[in-house]
Amino acid sequence: MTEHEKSDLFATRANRLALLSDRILGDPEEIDAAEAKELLREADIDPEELKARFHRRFDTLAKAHAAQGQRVPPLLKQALADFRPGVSHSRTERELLREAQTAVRRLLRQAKQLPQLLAKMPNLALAAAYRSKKELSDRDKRLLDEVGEQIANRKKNAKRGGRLRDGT
Amino acid sequence: MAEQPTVDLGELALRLTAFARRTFADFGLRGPDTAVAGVGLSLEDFAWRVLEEYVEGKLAHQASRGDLFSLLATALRNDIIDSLRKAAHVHEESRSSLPREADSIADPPSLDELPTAAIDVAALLDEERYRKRLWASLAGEPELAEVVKAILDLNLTRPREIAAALGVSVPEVQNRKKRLRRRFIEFNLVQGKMP
Repeated sequence: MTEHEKSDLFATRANRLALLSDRILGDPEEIDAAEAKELLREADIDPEELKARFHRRFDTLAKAHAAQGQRVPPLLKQALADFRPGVSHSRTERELLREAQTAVRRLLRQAKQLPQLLAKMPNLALAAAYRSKKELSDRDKRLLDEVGEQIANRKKNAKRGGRLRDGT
Repeated sequence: MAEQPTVDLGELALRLTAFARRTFADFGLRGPDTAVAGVGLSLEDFAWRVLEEYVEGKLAHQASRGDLFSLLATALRNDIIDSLRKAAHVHEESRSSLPREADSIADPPSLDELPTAAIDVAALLDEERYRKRLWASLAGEPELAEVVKAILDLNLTRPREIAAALGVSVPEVQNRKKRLRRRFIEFNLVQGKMP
């Protein structure tokens, strides 16, 4: 038997065994992330440490590209982000986290700007245009006056806060 | 070339390394510290090589040809088979060509006859031995043995068919197959005879 024939025979037999394994143990894709972690831990492989080791290898690879003046392939950049130690969330979780952080940052920025925005507002007078055709009771009038007063106070306080922030 | 934009490479690496572990078990290679003799690669190295080829664009993925994990897992298994073939070749090359003298048969083996970390090809690829290892791993696990019988004796493949034959639910079949994988890999770790 020639070397080539031997090699072919080896590959054929190995592939038959692989097919038998898939038939019994299932297709490769049946191993999901949770099962993979379980299988690795049982072999004393810490999933996070494994990812950290891969990150180091990808980092070396990226540096090699940079040293040769080559562009780092986009998938390699993605790998560096996905394998970064301490980043244990999945890609979807990280995207959600990023979106949440952006939303919170935007809200905080708007909240900080609120006094200045209010200060720029023209003096508003409360239009007590009551729509009821009936005569308002004294109690109703008192309540409406109180509300008007509260709004005016809030506006005044907001303006004062803005001036204090500006140091004026 | 269509890529899967949402794929998490970290998760993919864990699944690939776990699949490498299963493939090592398929071929009777032992634990995670094992390196395939002759090529010196561990299961982590095999997973790395496939990932490296993918991120470098040497291993192209087309969405029309199945999901990315299947492609990488197949490439990884082919790499392991290829390494085993090389290792087997190294073993054959290093074997002594001189037959023993009749009066030395009972003597201790010489250095080149000592068991080495090389590969026993016949044992490695023997389907009958594979089945024996599988059945041995299922001792005391009647539920798992039932699944294997349904697959091998009744020639059933789909979880739905197996579930119907066993009178259990599809998730139960999937759960048993998961336990089956774990059991087989663990058993191999303890009983494996290969390097």
